[in-house]
Amino acid sequence: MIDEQIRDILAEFGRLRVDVATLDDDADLYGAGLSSHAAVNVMIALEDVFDIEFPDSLLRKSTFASVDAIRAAVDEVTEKAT
Amino acid sequence: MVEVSEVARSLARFGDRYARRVFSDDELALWPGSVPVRACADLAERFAGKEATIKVLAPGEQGLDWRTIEVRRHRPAGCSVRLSGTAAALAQEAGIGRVTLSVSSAGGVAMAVAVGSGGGSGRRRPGERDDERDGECDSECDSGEIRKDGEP
Repeated sequence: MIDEQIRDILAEFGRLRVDVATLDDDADLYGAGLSSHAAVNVMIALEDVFDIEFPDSLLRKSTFASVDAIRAAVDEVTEKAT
Repeated sequence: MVEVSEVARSLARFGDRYARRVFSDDELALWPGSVPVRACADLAERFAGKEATIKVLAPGEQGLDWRTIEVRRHRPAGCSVRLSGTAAALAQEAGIGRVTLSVSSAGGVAMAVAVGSGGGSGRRRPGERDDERDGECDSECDSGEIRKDGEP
């Protein structure tokens, strides 16, 4: 479920060069066309959907490097909030 | 490098949440006479300047708030970068005492080049105030020429 939501957000805001559905969970999103600016949009969309706020410590390139990495970050923020 | 239209879309979609997550209050206080289209180009140039500066700082796994890199405009031309917080600490660790930044936009694309060096705080830009030289970081820096589409 979380992965689907992440992929939906990437499809809408990631501006990837390829269909996100064709990417593996560990595929390099930057290699697929994710820009720094698109990553900001993805981050804000994630915050809206999951009702979270990414702390400064997670505002780094690797946080948005793959679906796996994004899921781990969302899990981390969600766990800290509960 | 970022397309001006991307910034416009982000502002339209996320509004204040986007603006205040990426830009400081000073960066959002546009100069008199700005119109929305020009404001988007301005913010796109600032974003490109931040991105270029991040590449110089090479934060790696260190989280970095976009607002700790502030791109400042100076009249009649030029800009400078003010680093604070983690960005300032990264510069200090890397021995970067000065970041020279050039930003521009053309054809709907904003771009920037940043160069870090170990020098001092750099020369004063026209219109730059003394208090702008006394930031939280020694890497308050020099600037490059700014060109804006449609600007006379």
